Formats: sequence, C-alpha cells, structure tokens
Amino acid sequence: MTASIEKIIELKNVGVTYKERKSLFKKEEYQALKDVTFDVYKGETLGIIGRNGAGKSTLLRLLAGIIKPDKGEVIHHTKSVSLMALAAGFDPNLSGRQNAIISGMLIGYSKKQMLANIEEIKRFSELQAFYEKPVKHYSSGMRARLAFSIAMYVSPDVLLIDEVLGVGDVSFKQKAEQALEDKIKSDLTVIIVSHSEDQVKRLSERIVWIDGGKVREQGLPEEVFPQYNLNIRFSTFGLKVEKYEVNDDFIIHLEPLELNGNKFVFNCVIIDKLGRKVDLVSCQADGQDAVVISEPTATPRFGQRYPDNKYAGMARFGGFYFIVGKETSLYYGDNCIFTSKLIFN
Amino acid sequence: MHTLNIKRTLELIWVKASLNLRSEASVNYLSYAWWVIEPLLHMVVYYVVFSFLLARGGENYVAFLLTGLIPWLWFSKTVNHTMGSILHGKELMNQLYIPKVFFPLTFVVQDSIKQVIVFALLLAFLILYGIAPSIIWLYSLPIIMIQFLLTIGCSLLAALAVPFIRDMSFVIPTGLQFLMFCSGIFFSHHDIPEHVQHYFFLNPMAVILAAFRDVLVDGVAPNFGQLAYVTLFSCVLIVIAAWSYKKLEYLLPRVVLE
Repeated sequence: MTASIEKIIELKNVGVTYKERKSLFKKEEYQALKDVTFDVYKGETLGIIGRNGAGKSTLLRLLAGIIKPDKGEVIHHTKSVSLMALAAGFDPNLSGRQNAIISGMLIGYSKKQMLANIEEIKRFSELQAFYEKPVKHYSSGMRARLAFSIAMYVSPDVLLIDEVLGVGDVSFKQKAEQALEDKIKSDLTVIIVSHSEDQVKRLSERIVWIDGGKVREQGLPEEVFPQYNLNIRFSTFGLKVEKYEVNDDFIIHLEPLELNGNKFVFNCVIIDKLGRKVDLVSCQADGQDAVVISEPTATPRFGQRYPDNKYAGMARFGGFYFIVGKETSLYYGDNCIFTSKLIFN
Repeated sequence: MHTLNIKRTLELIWVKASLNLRSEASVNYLSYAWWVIEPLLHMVVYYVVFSFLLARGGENYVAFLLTGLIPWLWFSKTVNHTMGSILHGKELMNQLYIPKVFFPLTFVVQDSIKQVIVFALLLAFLILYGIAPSIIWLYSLPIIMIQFLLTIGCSLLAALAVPFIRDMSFVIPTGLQFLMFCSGIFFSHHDIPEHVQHYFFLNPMAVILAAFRDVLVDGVAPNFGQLAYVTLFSCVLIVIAAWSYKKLEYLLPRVVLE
C-alpha cells in the first residue's frame, strides 16, 4: 500500500511557544516547536520519533487540531482527526459500556451509532462481565484493553497514536497488533508517535524525526533510524551529530567511550561489505595529527551477525577521537569510511 | 477537529450529564435518595432555626424563606460546580478537539435535572404548609426558564475565567456569598428603603427570587418588566460567552496546562 499523492494534513513552518506564568507580571517562554514543515499523505502510516521533550506531544496536538500554532500554519484536509489515547479520559465510576459510549460520542459518533457497535467492542475487549462494572475496578491492563477496543471500532480519517500498545497480556497484545496492522492496511491514515523503535519501524512507512523543535530528518525507516540511534548515543554526552556521512561499502558501528574536554574518544567496528580485510584505519580530525590503528580486536557479536563476512569477528578499532566542533574522517587506505562532525548541544 | 456539530454536542452533553448523575449516585450508600434528602435537610435546618429557635418573621416566613433559598441554591451550586469544569477537563481537551462549552454545560444540565425534584419538593412543602395552589403557580415555569438562562450565562463565563485567572476560584465563591446577601433570601424587598430598591433589583437574582415569591407565596403575577430585564441580561451574558468560547477554543487547551 503506497501512499497516494493526496495530502491530508500539511504543516508549514509551524512554531509553538508556551508561556509559563511565574507570577503576576513575570512570564517565561518556552519554544516547544520552532520550525516544523512536513506533509502527511492520505493512507500512509507515518511514524514520528524524537527524544523526550523534542516536541512530539505538541506536534500531536497540532495534528489533532486541538491547538493552533503561534507561527506558520497547519492545514487539515479532513475534519475527522483524533487521538487514540489509551485508557485516559474514562470516568472511574461508570461501567466499561458507558465509558465506551461516551468515548465514541466524543470522537463524533452519535449515541445510536455507538449502541450499534457496543457489543462488538465488548467482544473484542474480552472484558466479559467486567464490561458492566465500574472502570475503577479495572486493572491497568483492562483499561488499556477497553480503550484499544473502542479505538478499533470508532475510527476517524486520521488516527493519531501516542505510545502504542501497552495493552495487557501477550495474547491480547498480539491480537491488538494484528488489528492495528489491519487498520493500517486499510485506507486509514495513521500517525504513530513513540520512542519504541521496534514498533514504529515495523508499522510505519515513513518517519519524521523531530529534534529540538525542528524536523531533523524524514524518510524511510531504514534511512532515518541509524542516524537517530547514533544521535541518541552521543546525546548522553551532551553532543549532537551535525554531520554524518557513511560510505555505503562499509558497515560501521560507533561505540562512544568518554568525553575529555573537547576530545571525544570512541571505538569503531568496521566491516567491509565487499569482504576485504580492513587492517589499517586512520582517523583524522581537521588540523590534527592522524591516529592510525592497525590491530583490530575481537567482535564475536558481529561475527555471528554477519557470518558470510570472515573478518566480521575481528573488526573493532579502538582509541579514535573526535574533536568536538571539527570535521573528523576515518580512512581505510584512500577510502573515506565516514565523515562526521559533532557539536555541543 | 470539528467532528462534533451542535446537535452531536448537545446529545453528548445530555448523555454525559445523565451518566454523571448515575456515577455520582453510585458512590453513596443512599445513592439517588440523596437527591431528595439533601434539599430536605436544608429545608429542615431553616425551618428549625427560623421557625422554632428565632420565631422570626410573620406568618409565612418559612415558606417565604424556602421559596427564596431553593432557587438561590440552584444558581449558586451550579456556578460553584461549573467554574472549575474547564480546568478539570484539561486531560480530555488535550486528547481530542472538543467544544469547550461541553464542560460547563454538562454541569449545568446535571444540576438542573436534580433541581426538578427539589422544586417538586418545594411545592409539596408549600401545600403542606397551608398555601393553596393556584393557577398563578404556572408563572413559575417561565421564571425557571429565565433563571436557567441566567445560570447558563454566569456558569459559562465563570468556567472561562478560572483557567485564565486561577485566583477567580477564590473570588467567585466570595462573590456568590455577597450576592446571596444582596438577593434578599432572608428579608423581603419591602423591608429595604424605597430609594435603594431601584439598585436592589439591578441584581438579576433578586428579581428572580422576588418573582418566585410573588407567584408561589403571595399568589400574584410577577413583575414582568423586571423579568424582561433579567432575560435580556442573561441573553447578553450568553452571547458574550458564546463569542468568547469561539474565540478561545484553541487557546484553552494550552492555558489549562500552564
């Protein structure tokens, strides 16, 4: 199922600023989104990824039409967008059935339409007798099941999913994922926001990566995720990857070690896809002496992962360093393995 | 998103209000009985204090008191309930687009449904007390409608003010207290000096309470001029509220989180 060209939601240079009131006259501003531009196409499944605080929730609320941006514009080509929130917004004193009716009506269904679907929801949720009991007596898994079941039967044109599927036990989880995948295969447009790489990768056709209130990258999951993961690894040290270009002939895996002043020490596993033996690697940062390493150490995990490559089990080169703020390249002979630039966040 | 049109919104408010009442009743042992017991207790307390202990007022004093008190309680309870409603709906309104009037109106409807029973109790009390029912009593229906409009207007504005100025959740109850003493619940407007009466009746609740008493206790037609003023006043409030809600619809989800 490829996405048609038809746009369903457009975001153009969108910015959102929150004002926090400190006291009567004091206000603090906080920019949740700075400049976000991307389109959502009809029928596609879009994954939005980003670290905590990157502005994902704000973005979701914009997409859902709950808030308007302070800057730029969000254009909806549909009126029916809603967020599938798992297990929130239930009245604890009402039964599962009553909550299901209210939830559906909130999305825009009439009471009559909900009553027509109510037994289906009961069956799907497998709550049985609990369906008639107040939600306050539910376990968190049961709540999630109820919410998920409601969402499966009342669907808008665009379904927004925030942190998918914390849904109860294993068997229900499988069923839920299956149901969700079926939905995704229909012409429903789905936007998933999560930091669980697994799920987003499996379900999404396209990824938008939000970082610091901006779109950092968008594209196919296999394009975006390696960079995203790399960035996550560096950000532990307060660093940001500004540039990262890898030669397609190599599989590389960076292992950050420590940050010493502006010197960032790392190991690197380097495997040549063409099967050549990589035995001498030099690393050069702008204006620095090259570090040359010739003796790779054992990498049994990679040996297992790439059994066809006989050098994969012996591919770790240790002790390179980046100079933060300067472009650093790794060479194998004349081949540039990768070029990258790190900056302080 | 505008998936909810006016008809759907009203249906939603109605269903939510009736389910809320059920939910509210389900947590007490005496559940629905409280709808009768609570106002009854109120009536008993005032009866005991004013009729036995203080032996106040003339012959119809308790009837006079309750015909003022019960409509007043409807108004003040509703405004008190609704003023925090938008703020409390912050989770929900941040999950999907929903017309924000949903929050206060649900409470207004909920409290008004209960009020039907209380009014019935009041009428029963008046008859037991020895006031003969008459056709004049039918005037109380339009008066109830006017009070309903006034309550909607005040509730909508109170619920809207609180998220922006949180201090209002202290100001409004105090204001209601003040208004209670200015609405002539414990005294008749005949007891205040002639030249102040003009100002006294600027307070719409004073007009409504006086109208209820004219109709239910004294058995005479209410002052239509004053009631027309209250109707107009209420409609203006509702129009202002409707305009503000429309204007602030997308700002509220952000304001409530601040």
